[in-house]
Amino acid sequence: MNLEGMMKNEPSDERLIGRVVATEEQPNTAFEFQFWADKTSKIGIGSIVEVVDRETGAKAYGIVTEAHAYNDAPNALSDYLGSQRRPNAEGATLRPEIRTFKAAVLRREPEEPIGAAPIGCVFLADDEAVRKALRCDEMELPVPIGVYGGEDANPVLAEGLHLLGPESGHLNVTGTSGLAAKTSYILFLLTSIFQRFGKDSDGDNSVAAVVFNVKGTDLLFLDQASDTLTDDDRRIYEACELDPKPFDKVVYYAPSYDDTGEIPHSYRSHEDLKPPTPFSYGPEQVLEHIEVLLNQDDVDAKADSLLGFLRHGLRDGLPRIDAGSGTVKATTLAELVEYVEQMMIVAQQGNQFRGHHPRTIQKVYNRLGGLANRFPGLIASRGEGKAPLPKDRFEDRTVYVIDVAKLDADHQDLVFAAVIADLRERMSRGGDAFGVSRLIVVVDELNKFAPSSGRETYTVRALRDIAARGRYQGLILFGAQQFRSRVDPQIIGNCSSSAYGHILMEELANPIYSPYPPAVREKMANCQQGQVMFRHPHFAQPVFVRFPRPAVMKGEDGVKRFPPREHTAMDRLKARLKSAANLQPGEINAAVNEAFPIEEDRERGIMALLGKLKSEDIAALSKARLHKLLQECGGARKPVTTRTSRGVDELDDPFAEPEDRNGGSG
Amino acid sequence: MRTLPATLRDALGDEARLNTDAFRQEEAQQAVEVHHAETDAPIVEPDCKIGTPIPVSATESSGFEIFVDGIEVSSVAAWFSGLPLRVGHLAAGAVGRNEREMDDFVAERLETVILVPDAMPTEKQQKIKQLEAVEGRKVLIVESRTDGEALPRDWHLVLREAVSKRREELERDVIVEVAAARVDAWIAVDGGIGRYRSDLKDASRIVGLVKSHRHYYFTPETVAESVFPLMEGHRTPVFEAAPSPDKQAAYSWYLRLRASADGPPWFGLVRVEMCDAQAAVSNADDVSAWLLAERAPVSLPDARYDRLIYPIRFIEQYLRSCQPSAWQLRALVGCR
Repeated sequence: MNLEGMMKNEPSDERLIGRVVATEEQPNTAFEFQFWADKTSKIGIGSIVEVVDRETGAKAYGIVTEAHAYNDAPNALSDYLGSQRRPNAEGATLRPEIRTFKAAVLRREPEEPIGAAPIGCVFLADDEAVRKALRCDEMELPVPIGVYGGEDANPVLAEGLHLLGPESGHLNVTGTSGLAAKTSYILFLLTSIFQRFGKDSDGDNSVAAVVFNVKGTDLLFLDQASDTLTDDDRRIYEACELDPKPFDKVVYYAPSYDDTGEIPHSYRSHEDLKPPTPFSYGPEQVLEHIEVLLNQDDVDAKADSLLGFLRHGLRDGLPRIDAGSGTVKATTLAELVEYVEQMMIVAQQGNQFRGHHPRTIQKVYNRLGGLANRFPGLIASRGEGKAPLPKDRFEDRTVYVIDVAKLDADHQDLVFAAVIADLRERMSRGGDAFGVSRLIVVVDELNKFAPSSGRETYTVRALRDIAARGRYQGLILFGAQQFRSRVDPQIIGNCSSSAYGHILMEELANPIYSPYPPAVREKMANCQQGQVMFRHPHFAQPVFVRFPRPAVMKGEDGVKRFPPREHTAMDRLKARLKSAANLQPGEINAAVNEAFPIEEDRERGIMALLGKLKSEDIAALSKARLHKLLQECGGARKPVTTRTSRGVDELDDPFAEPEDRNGGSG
Repeated sequence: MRTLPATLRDALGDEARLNTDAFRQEEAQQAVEVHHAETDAPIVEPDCKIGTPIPVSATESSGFEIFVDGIEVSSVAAWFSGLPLRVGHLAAGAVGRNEREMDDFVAERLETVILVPDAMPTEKQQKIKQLEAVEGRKVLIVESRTDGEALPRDWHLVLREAVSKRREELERDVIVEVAAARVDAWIAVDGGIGRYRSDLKDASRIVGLVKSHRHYYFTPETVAESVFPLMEGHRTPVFEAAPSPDKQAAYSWYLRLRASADGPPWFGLVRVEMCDAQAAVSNADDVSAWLLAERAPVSLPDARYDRLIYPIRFIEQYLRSCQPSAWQLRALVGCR
């Protein structure tokens, strides 16, 4: 029996798909209703429908959460018998099939009183109905979060005040790794936020984002356009009124490659790309995040006390070892280690130094001394360190990418802890802490940094604090992980919006997913790439939305187009000699090539030279001294003339004392 | 301004006693009497004997295109001066089948009836008649069959039969309508069709399916020896079925749709009826084969699934879904 035959009294409407059925056993409620639909109706889990009571004009918008199909076979046995025990037997009559659906109410019209959903005809939602159902017509700062529907893609908007604060805030994204659920969706959201957030409203709606590139090269080409967008992707961007283009402003940071502090350790090293700004940490950050760097066993109560003493000393000045008045400064890790070494010597003589036992001092000395070797480049042994991110003001619509992909897990933990602590500290200062009204910090692998079980680390406390208070101060957490159930519940609880991509069945078995009906959970387990379920305070129920591929170049494409180059020994040498006022890069090249004309010898020679330069005053290094050092490293001897202040070329004396040559005429 | 009565209570006034259990409790069924003919019905199929079963070749498909069935539900609604009044809902419908899928209703009749004994005071009858103002509602004044004064028990039977008779009338209307509209279509009707013969111009493609065997056209011995032993997929020869000498005869044969070693002898046994002798004889094999094909899908959970073909059950289900609820019928009575 076709639908029209059953709906004789209903006006023809191509959106009409079925009718609400409310029985005494299964009545409509204020939050749920059931309806049947023809089996040809294009409707499924996540579909948005509109119910119209033609008598009263009341409407209800709902989202399908359960779907059932059945015919009039009372049980399997009767079907078995009726089909003559043959699966492919075709009876003389086809049993009529019915599709019934359960829908959760998204919105009612009128809103009050909160009565049961009306019993009436059910229509597939069109553009206007989707807008109304999801209250997009009531939003102050709308942000597109994807589209609903297939080819007739209707944009779905989230309320910016709830996504980015201050009403509520933070986003959590869950999805199986490698299925383009988490990173892709966050990049799309950032595009959407940067292009649409607050564009049509007054007030300060400036926004920036801090992103960690933890693995691979996915986030290293955010400033490059994608050439893999499909027509469907473009349709979604168009529906969301977004320009499918890369981010206009991207600032990259990468840890220093070595102790020169000049070479970024990153896959983004092609000469056509703007290189990342190298960063490293000095003694203050090392001591601040020492629990990340050392084992739990290393930092016992005694060691912690000593580290606290050093921490204070770094800030206010370290007491003189010789017990004299005044303080000494330690601005580099090397100086700090040297200070601890002296402490150790004094303590061994007097069996203590300022109450610290020699063994404790020795333990701290060993651990601190090893850090520079354990984390070369990342921890500046000779400089003060240059932390990533702007010191004062973040720029509007700018993505700050901290690339730690080339670091191992311990190094990454240090960077992450330091950045989060830095942001939290700025947040705690209040006022215009960031220079933008909202700063989004994107944290992938949240279950690793803030696990639901395990000890309460400094990082966990910082993330909890950001999740609890950040939205008032403009610091918004976009967390992502594969297992939502394994993330600290306080952080999850403070995320007002959540997106769920493809999720493994094992994860879905966790009780935190029990509020969702089985059909919705099954859909989550089968979520296609480019699809997420979005829960948002503005929506009465979560909705499934589709999103396009990010409009930025994928990591693998970027690496093909901009192959990373390995840093050569010459790069390191030039970086090391960057502060040498008397040497130009061309001169360094020439000197090295002359000293080591055979290419195979050159790298070995430069490495030896770099070792010797550790004890040199780089700023004052002359060309003659460079030649001398090269010869000491096994380079060929060749006289070099230098132009003196008198304008006469003099023969450089390779055997002259450094003071003579550096001192010039003096 | 006179107001029309809305319920039977309004029409009857306070003198009536309403049946507060109307449509709530199933009435006790009358015992079904089984009649056997005194002599065996004449066999009209040439060269055949009742004792020789005819095997039927099963087919995958069925030639029936239209199916007709009717339903009824009724209950004693009230008593007035000891006379019962009955309210019922009747429906008959015909559904087409197109490429194995049950299609739209070709014809349907739905009616709510109020049956009033003609022994009721005329004034009350007229008052009750006013209930017909609502579309789809009919008041039938029923005559007593009993000579002299009928007892209340007689009226119960008479009204009950009047309900069934009215349902048959609706079915007849539906059959006549679809037979005229679809002259080339094979029509399967639930129940006997001999009684409709005079109303039909051409009944050669109309087949009646009788599931309840209240009247056997053979002696008990013949039934026991030749009808009950029929094996699955076998039929008897076509015979002339005349319920009584004054009624029109139909041409009929027994067919075993399903067999059961443990069931009663009439398990899976149907009697097929056609109005035209020639049509019955020449089509008995084909029609039987179609009916065997109609065994799938099975009509479970209906208790008569062994004899009830699925399309007929489908119509019953539909008609019952259109039936007013017990509460609606009780409201018509005026039960609070």
